[in-house]
Amino acid sequence: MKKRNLLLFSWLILLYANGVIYFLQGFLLTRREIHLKSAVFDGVSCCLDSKYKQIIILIIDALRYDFLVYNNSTNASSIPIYHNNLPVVQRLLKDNHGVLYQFVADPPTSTMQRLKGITTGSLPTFIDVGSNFASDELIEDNLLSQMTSSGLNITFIGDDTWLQLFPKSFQRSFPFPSFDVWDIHTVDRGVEHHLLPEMMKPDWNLLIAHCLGVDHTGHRYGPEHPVMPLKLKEMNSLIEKIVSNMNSRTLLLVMGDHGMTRSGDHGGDSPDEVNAGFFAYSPGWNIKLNNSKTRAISQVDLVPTLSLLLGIPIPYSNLGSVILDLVLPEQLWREIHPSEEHEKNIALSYFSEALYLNTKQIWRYLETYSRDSSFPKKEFEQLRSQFDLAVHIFGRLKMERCSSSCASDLNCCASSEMLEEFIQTAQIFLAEAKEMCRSMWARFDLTSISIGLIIFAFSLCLHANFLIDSESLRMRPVQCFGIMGAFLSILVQGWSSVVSLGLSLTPVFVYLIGTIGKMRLFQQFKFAYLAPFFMAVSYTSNSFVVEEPYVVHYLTQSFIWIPMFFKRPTKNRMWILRIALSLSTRLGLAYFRCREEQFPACEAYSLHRSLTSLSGTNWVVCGRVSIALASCIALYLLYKRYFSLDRQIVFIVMIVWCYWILQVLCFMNGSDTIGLIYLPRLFYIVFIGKLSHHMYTFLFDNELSKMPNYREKTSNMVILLSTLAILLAGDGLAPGIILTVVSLTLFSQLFTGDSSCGEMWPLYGLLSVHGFFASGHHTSLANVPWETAFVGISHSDIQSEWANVLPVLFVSYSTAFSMLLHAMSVPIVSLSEMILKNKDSRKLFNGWLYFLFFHAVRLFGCMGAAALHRRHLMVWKIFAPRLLYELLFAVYTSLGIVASLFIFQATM
Amino acid sequence: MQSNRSRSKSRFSNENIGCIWNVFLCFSIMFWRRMNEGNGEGGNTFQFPFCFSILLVNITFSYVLSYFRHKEKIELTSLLRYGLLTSTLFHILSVLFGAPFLKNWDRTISFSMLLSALILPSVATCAGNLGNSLNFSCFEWMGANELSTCFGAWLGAFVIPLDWDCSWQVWPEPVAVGAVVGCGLSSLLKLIGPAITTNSAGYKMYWPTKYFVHERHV
Repeated sequence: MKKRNLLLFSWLILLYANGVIYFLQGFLLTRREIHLKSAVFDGVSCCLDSKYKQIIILIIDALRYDFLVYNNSTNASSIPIYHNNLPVVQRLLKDNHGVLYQFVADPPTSTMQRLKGITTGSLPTFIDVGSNFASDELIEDNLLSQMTSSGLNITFIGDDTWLQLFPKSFQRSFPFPSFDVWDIHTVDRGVEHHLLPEMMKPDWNLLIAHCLGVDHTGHRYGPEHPVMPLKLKEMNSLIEKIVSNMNSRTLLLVMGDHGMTRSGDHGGDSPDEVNAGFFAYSPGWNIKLNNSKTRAISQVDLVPTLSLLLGIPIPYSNLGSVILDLVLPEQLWREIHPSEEHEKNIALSYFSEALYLNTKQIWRYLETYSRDSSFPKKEFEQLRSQFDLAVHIFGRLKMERCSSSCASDLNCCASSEMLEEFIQTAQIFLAEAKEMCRSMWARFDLTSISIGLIIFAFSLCLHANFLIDSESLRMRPVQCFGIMGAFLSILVQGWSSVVSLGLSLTPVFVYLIGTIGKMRLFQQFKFAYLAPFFMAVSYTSNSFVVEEPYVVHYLTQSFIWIPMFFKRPTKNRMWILRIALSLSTRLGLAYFRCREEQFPACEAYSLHRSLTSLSGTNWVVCGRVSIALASCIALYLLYKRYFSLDRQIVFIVMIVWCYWILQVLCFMNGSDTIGLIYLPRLFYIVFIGKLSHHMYTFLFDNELSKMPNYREKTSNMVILLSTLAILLAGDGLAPGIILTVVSLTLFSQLFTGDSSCGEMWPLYGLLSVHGFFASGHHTSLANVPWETAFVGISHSDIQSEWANVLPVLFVSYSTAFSMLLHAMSVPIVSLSEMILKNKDSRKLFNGWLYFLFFHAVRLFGCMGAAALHRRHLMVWKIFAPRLLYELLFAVYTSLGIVASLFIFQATM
Repeated sequence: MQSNRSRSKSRFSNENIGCIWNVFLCFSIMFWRRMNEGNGEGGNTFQFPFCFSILLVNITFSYVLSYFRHKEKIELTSLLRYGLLTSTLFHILSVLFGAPFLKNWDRTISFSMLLSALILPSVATCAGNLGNSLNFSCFEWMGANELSTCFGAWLGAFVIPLDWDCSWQVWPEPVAVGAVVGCGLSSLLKLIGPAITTNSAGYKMYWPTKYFVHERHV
């Protein structure tokens, strides 16, 4: 009887963990950031002479390749209206002053990720380990930081995403807001206004202008709308203006960071989105390149090319290879394409110089990276031999050059065959290195994702089986095997997917087949089992995820009120409790937080701010204090009425209050006292002491006389746990958390002795999610409560390695405390009497099982949505953060369930 | 084989007149809304004057109906009191369900008036003196009408969070449309339901049996 519950829950949780781990391995491909910088004198990547004094980069967001290409079809009606709108590009190409490339982006084709790619030369992943979540600042070695450390000046005009990435790199910047997708003019007008005056100034080396008009026109109207040609013509005149003001030592690069689909969106990996345009022009050039085949370059290739052109080291983690045509020595640009043997040699030896630098830089990066995280062994060895070969050939080149008379000169006389051989070898190496990294970082592992989903889905079936079949005593050995299989399957992740699938799922199948005949499916089935599935489905829509607090609130209220339509309770008490529950849930709405996507429609109240950050009058402060006091008193009265409250909790609450008062006083005086650190520490000590006391009474103090107190003891434990969340959240959010506990208490009273209600457990699950939102959280990375990490920890403490554990614990606890609280208080809700009886374990067990089911189904929905939308524009902004939050919820839910299960069994 | 003898009632019972009125009203509201959409007013059909006038029209209708058909007519004051009461109730309910408390309070008020206007005819035709003596023969219909009006409104709320950026996705609009459609549909079903399910002999036949049983009772 006792062991069965533990067995069941550990099997389920292990299975879920198994599925989640597989899923995440496929979904969250991680790349470790290396924070080393290339330097001028580090023996590897020092530089060629700078070719251009000034380089202008004009980024036209979402400039697709075919916007740039001239469409000379004779049938005018077949030409799409977005073609042939940039005649200046055609003119310059015709005069042999420019080159046109297809600029291939790596998915995800969203602007932020692309800018990272264009400046660091690396392939982006969702979690760059080591990056700072709180700000978007780019820490990895990149083009701009190399420039500033070499003393070159950068001016920036346009999309303010750049300023988030590089807050300190620009000597002058003119950022314009990029968020409003419907505003197609502001940024472009700003760029037009500032670009020419800035060009005239002598003090810049790199001028970055980022226009958003084309992208926003695409988002708003799509490429085939008549606005698009107008916008492109505007861009044309901008380029025209730049071109007419350039001198021969200036280089202009016009590029799109990504393309757009036929509907004008981007973010995915379809050819239309990936193929951006790239156009390079310098007045000094006179070239005729072989344009027979479309020439495609990768976006990361821009990084080494630009660094060689500017004479700076190639950024440390670059993976691109030099675009040889662009680094051609300047004197060769001026003439006809080299045909004579001598000039060809000059070009080739210059190329090999550039490629050698590039090769060595990439190999250094790969070696550093492989030191901590491994690459696939076979490919890595192949790369190593390729690299050795290239180095070997280059050594021979050098030898030859040294023996000849013109050793130090560029115009030297290594044989052209050998030069070509080296160039070929180096290019193969570069291509292979990029391919290997791409296969590791930029691709989702679909097999792993689907294995995770399959394991999770079948675990859900098993869970549903347990729920429906309440006599799940059957087949103990199968359950034991199941636990062992799931555990082993987690251990052998690396081997093969078939083995782990078999290990974890065979016992599930055996169990399902064995019990399906004996189940009374239709008698036992309840509508309540379907409730979480509706929520899970809603996670596939980004707007429902964005507006989730309100959706959850709406559903909660629905579950409170809709049953009243069908059964009218006779007791007045039920009405009052329902109204009170509904009211406390509605009051929690005031503590909801807005996320970026909800502006400007969402109005955040200032309620969740801490008192110290308020700039209001005394009335505001008084109002806030009275709200906090009122909620505390309400909770106190409620608890006193329904449970016997442990008096010592008052002492703990007093510490919290003292801490807040001290905080406000310090803030008003502008001083800092030691009490701000030691009061929370005192709280932690008392908290841990009290918690262990509770545990002790649960575990060892269970004589018969103490038995009636099981429910009350649990309630005291819950309120103790909530005080920690209250302390961490601060005085602003405290009423929100108290409201959550109030709702919990009211709920437990509403359903006492009536646990057969269909709506009870779904409502309970909804309340737990509501508690998350009502305590001032939202499921976006920007809303992670970082400020809770350092309550009672001074910054000097964080030197040691272990010191990071506490902040992580605090942040995660203050995020997901609601799940823990609700999982722990299942006994309060499902037991009606104070005396624990043997038959009560059935009720308790069903409560836990349903609560876990509720969260597991939602987690499954999040996983499915993330997998389904893995190429969605918003996946890293909405779906993936939602999944991470849901994972945290799942962890805390299972933690709470396991803890209270242990307590329960120790008490029995 | 189950078949109930249908209630021997004239075709123009209070209940049916209420239904016809509801269908007519809901249809004309939707029509009005459609006409206004063309004028670029799409999002703001259910303004305070509009909803208030609908409430007044329905109060008048109920009063007139009871005056002509009921043995004891309903007092006008009790109708007004009833309207005020239900409006307040619906206002509180919609705030509890997440409508803004202070911002746009006029919209919330007009919505709650619309809702109370929509369920008024059914209640008035059923209740002799509004709660004092309920006519239980049509109690079923009253419940169904209330329920489907509220259910329509409940369903309507689900389009508000979607990011289609439509002009009608503002607070009471889809919810009010849902309520109107729910009310109209339930009344329409009540009207045409017997026509579909009753055979020539006056037996009520629900749809599965209709196909299996032929002329057994004729």
